[in-house]
Amino acid sequence: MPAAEPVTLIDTAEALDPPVSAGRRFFTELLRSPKGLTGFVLILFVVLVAIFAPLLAPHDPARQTLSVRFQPPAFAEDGSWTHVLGGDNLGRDIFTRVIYGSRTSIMVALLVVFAAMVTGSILGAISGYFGGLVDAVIMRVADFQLSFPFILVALLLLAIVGPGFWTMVFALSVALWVSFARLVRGETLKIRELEYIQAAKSIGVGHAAIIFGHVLPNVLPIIIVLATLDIAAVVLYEAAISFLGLGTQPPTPSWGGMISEGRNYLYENYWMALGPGIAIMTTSIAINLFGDFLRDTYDPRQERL
Amino acid sequence: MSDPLLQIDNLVTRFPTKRGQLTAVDGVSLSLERRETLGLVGESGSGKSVLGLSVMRLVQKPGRIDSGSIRFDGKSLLDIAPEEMRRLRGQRLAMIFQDPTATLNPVLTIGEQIAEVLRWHTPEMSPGEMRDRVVAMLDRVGIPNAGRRYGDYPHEFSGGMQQRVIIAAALILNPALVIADEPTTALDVTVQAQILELLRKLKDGEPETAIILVSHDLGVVGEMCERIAVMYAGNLVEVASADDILDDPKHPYTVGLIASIPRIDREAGALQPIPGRLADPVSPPPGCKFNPRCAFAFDRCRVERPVLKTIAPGRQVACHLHD
Repeated sequence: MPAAEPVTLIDTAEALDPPVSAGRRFFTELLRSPKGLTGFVLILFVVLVAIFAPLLAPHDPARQTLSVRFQPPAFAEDGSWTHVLGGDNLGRDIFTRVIYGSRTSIMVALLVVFAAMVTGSILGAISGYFGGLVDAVIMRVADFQLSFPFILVALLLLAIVGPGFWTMVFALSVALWVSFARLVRGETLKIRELEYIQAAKSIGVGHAAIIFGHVLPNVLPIIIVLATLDIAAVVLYEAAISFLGLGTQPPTPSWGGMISEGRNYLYENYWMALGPGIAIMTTSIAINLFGDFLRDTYDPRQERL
Repeated sequence: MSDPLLQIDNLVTRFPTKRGQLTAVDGVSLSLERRETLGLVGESGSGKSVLGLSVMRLVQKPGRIDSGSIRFDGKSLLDIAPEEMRRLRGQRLAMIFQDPTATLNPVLTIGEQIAEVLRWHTPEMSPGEMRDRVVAMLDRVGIPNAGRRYGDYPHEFSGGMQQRVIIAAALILNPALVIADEPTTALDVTVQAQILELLRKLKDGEPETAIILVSHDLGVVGEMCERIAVMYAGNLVEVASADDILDDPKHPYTVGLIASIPRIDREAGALQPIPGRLADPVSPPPGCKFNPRCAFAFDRCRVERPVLKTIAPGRQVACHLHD
């Protein structure tokens, strides 16, 4: 085997530029990106709120007080600081419910998007890479599902299995995997013809490793973008399903459910939808900003200096 | 060692098209000794790349090998299981492709891509050993600061350096046969010379490695190879030592190829192109496929396809002129 000279060469070279750990690189890049930092801080904030909800909330989220019914928020006329965001139609503290609602919304969004992303991407990559019968079967199932409005698919599943948190997560995941599968399949069809896939085969790499090691990393930036868009969407889907009475069951608060309730009183008591509305908006903007940052940082094709 | 390293017999590779079967490789027989460097020459579309891919069993669908046999290292490559074939690739058989930029995966570091060969073929090696081995190989192919560049991405390298990386990946396990499919075509001339020099150096260092150098450039091949096979429209038309081919070509097509190499000792205006176009691979002309472009064609050439015959020790020609 080759001699010792290169070894000395390496030592000096690495002394000049010590390898940076993945975590450290993440934070250096994050501090350099105002966009990413904003998103990250906001997401962190929402997650912490969700975790520490019982400590942060001033009231009990289910407690109904007649005097608080339709009480305006602190900044409005007749508002009081004991109920910062006012009270809802049943006399519950909206601020407390927004804090507790983050738990449901974040959980559902993360679980659903993760499940849909993983299954959708893998099925899409398999479909595009192997083609033929496998592709035909997977894509016909996807087409079949796309021919129904997604909310109908979700409702159908919920109606069959019965409402509940996990059923909702499952139903939404089933509804969302198709967009990932189609996106990844399209990209895979393009990538599998490229020379570097041929080259990987020429050094004896197996099919599974080509899919996971060569194809999917190339699609990852696009997957991340779709996932961040979907997280924001799932928060709203959860709201829609909860609104129809098949999602989060009262009295458990969820942002979507709160907006749905507030919709009925929008003209007289706008604040019922205001708090959860701001929460949804903040979360989705934060996730989108952070998603952009991830894509910019971890796609090596983007120039970074 | 009496057996040749590679023995191709009557290989036929076809691609179905709307107009009918496109025969890219049409009954090629060829053998290669251990350590030999063979040049495979022909114009674009003559089937030389497909021949290389056929040996690797990497012909892209819907193309397929219809008949013939390939014996490599005592194994019949067309009969072994896909899994066994996969194990040979990268370990005993390797390939270097034309466009280095397209051959490297843009999202993986070059170190990871070379180490992948080791991960698949020598999994018992520890990650640290693999890294050392890759760095040593990078150094051997002339990448400066090899240890530091291990974690760099392909776009951070020039075309010539990328081709060195690919050569490193192909040769890291000292395969018995490397098929280099126009390894210098996408590079500029000075880099071309460096890459060829590198291949020659690596080959001399590892006497086990045989190379098939696919090229449309007879000049490049003449410099590098001991033996040259000339391919036209899916057929081998002439196989002989490099000196014989360059000094005394027998087949009219080889003569034409040599006349079309620009040479410094000849007037620029004297360059002789071969008239006409490559034979249609879906419905080739009857008789010798080269006959419509051949200045010496006679009646027999238009009806009977010549076969590759030995006319002198180590010289084979497929032409009725030399019967």
